[in-house]
Amino acid sequence: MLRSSFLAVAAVTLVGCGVGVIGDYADDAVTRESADGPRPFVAAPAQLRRLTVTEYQNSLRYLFGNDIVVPTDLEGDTIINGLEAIGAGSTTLSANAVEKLELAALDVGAQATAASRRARLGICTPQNAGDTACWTSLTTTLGRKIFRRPLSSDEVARFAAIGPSATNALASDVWQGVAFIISALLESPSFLFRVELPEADPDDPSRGRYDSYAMATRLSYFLTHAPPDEELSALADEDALTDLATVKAQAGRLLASSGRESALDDFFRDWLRLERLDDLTKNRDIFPATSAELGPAMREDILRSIAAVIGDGDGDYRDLFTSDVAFASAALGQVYGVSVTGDTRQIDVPAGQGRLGLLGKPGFLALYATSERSSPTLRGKFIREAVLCEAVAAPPPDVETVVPEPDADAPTMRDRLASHRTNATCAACHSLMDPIGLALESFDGVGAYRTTDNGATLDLSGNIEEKTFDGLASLAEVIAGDDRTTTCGARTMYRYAVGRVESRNEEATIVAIDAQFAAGNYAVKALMEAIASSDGFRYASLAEVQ
Amino acid sequence: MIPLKRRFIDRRTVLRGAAFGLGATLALPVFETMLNANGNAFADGTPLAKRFGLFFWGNGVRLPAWTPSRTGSNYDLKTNLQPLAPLQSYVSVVSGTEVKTGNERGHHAGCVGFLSASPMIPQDPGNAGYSSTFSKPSIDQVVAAAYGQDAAKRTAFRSLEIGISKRVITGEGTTLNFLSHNGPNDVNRPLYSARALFQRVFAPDFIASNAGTVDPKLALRRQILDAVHADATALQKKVSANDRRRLDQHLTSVSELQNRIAALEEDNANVCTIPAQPPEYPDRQGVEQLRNLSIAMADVLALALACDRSRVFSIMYSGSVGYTSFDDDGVTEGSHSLSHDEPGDQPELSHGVTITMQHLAIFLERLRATPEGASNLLEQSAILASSDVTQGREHNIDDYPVLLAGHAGGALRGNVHYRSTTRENLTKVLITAMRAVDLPLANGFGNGGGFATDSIGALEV
Repeated sequence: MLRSSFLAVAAVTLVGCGVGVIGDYADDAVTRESADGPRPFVAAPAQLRRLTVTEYQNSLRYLFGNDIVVPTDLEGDTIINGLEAIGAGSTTLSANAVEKLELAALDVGAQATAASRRARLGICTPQNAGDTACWTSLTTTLGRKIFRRPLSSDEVARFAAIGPSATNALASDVWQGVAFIISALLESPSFLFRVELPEADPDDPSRGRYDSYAMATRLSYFLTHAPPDEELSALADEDALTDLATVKAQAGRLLASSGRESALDDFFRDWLRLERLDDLTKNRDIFPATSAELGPAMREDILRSIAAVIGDGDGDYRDLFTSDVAFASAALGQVYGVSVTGDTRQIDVPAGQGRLGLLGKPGFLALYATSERSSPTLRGKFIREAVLCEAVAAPPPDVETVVPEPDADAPTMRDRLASHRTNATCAACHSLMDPIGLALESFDGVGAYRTTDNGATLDLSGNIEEKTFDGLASLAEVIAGDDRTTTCGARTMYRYAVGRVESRNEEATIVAIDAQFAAGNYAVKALMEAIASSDGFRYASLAEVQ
Repeated sequence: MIPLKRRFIDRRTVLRGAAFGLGATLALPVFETMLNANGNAFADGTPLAKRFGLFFWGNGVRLPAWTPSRTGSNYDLKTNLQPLAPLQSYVSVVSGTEVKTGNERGHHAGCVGFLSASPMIPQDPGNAGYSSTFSKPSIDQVVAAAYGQDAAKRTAFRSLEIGISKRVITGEGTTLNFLSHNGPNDVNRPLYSARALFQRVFAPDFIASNAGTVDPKLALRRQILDAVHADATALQKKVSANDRRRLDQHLTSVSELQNRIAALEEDNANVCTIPAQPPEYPDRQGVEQLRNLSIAMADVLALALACDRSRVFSIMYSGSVGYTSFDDDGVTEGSHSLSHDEPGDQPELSHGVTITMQHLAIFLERLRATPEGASNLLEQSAILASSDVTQGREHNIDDYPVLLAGHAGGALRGNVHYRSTTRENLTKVLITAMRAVDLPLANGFGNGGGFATDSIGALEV
């Protein structure tokens, strides 16, 4: 089963639909597998990861309470290689980002020290600017929480000194001093980046492993989308999180908490690029259901449906592609063909549409379309790349690329895309995408059901390699039953969890995760546990460390 | 900490200016009383400042509606360039040059080639979705870096980044998502709100300190940033070479903020009267207010340049592969889709290019209408405008559509159509623009096939 997915990756290369490269992908001699299966595992270097916008906001809520007003005027996240999580591991903080984070830190410092919130900080109250013992103590306490590790004595001295300065400058108000210390800690790269450092593994000093503090943040942000809680922090202080059994136990505990839902929401939002639904652009003359509310309603439908399928974590990943659960607002109800009044509610999708799973979601169908029509190519490309994890090359330069207007001889998209099949250069890649996308032609550019296009009946038949289908209902079954789908889910979530694309030397860890995923009957929780306890999640190369 | 040097005037000079009856023009920091008899330099002979700008739009043009038939001065204006007619004395057209950094991937290669004269970095590990990024800084940052190293040219903001249409591609790496790059995966994001730009450049505390008292919190904010600086420097010792580079950028950003705060404490940066902040122009029923936003952005930009808050700017009008539409002008399909779907000469796509030039003209007009001594901001600027491909349907990068606007303080001729008959390197146009704003580039510019040593003399005075 696993072998077949590797062969499929190789097959894409064979049809001349090649791709460019970075990292060890630059070396074509490095393949994912050796003659005996995947290459032996070699850990990748550690890297700094910026807190994403939502990780930053969730961290502030955890530190200072759910009732604080979290800053929203922040620099957005950048998608690299399909995920914002990967962008967080490779981008920097621009001048404007630092400006916004400074204002945000000043604002949160003031909020956190408001009279009503002081008690929950759990710190001493300095008597005056000269109360060195208390300034030192409170900086130690706040720093441990905000930096997610203990501060060195140099660090404590550096940040504690800000308190007396601010107190003296601002009418001897010691709480101004505390506020400025909090702001300073929140502006530090030790807070704004997840600093996850490796140490030599005592069992094998030639290899590196993430230390307990690093493991605490890796586990908590991956499994709960928030910073380490008290139990994880205590275990980090005891240096207990390099132990595999403890990691597994903690992963199980975190996955039983409400943080799991928040983590999964963020993963699926990132993977499916749902933020783009915020400014969905459609031609209102063609799609009258379009409104400013429609895109966000589509996003809510997708995330709530996923949550309903996954349930307490035991839901089957494959069911995401075949479930008929849907939630609609009034505006989205129009697209579904269901009358909804009042608030968003769960609906029954009209029978006979063959609308199943994520690929039948109006949000997906509308995103992968133009503003005026459906796009079998964009839909097929997303399914190949993001659902099956197969490469599709960019179109070659200097090729005329025109989709002809519909006419009596060519009313449907299948007719209009004929050159993608008859021109051999086009067909090399379009044969991977278009047949899948054409099965979705019973849904228009905003995702509404239709039986004809420009008056002509639709041919929804196609195939993925040897598997045939006829319309979404059978396509969904083919996708759900394809080993590549679950392997791709595992691979994508691994990338999300580690914040980068795996190197080819990590293929063994992906194979092991995939096997555990299968053994767990493809329960989403089983996948998350497998990733959290995998070698790739726990080990890091020491080579890059000075 | 390096205090910001203010080349122009302090508050007392402003007040003296007002005493001379010039109160109504307080928004302008350069007063005629400070200049020589001709009004074209300071009294001590120091030339007026030069400014450098980029203007970028996505998905190219249709050449028949773009390229003038006649070369030389007083060239004829085809449909796309008609909106620039009132500004023709300031605008030169360059045709026939070619991006020489290869066309590995349509759109991506042209973006990186035009904006940095260097090859793109493809990022396609296996099946992780195709992306690309820049290998070198975009040229706005090349100019910004040179100015930043010169105390006489350093400004509060190293550069300003403006975005107009938000319909950009976010999923194919930084190349399509952003214009201004410091290096690979290292970008300066644009602001898409004129109010946000206004607040950034003329921050509320900046206005408040106008009263003559120094806010004690400013010194505390600098002390915080000192601690942050020390923290980042300590962290650099523990991380990989790539992460050290990322932290370097963070440290640069922190230093710039410290300098700006220091300038506020000196209380002499407030030479500009701050006007009311601009209105917001949110989408109306999913339709972008591109014209209104361009007008508002042009106002803030002109004010920022006049007040010498920055000398370098970039305007990402629309994105490469972007889906900007011009619904108010009857172009309802996104421009990338149009470039592939519209048959024949693609009049609808081409009309979108004409509207884009109307909006470029808004910026250029605003700069021309902003006096600086006897000169004006457009006279003092070099602004390079181009796209990601020549024609979107073909994804070609030869016969590139390029405009060079402004006289760069007398360095550029304007009103010239230069047509290369030998497929010259596009980089020569970049060199022309940068040399016009006083970067020597003595060893040439660009990397790989993009390297060139010469400017285009026909465009220069």
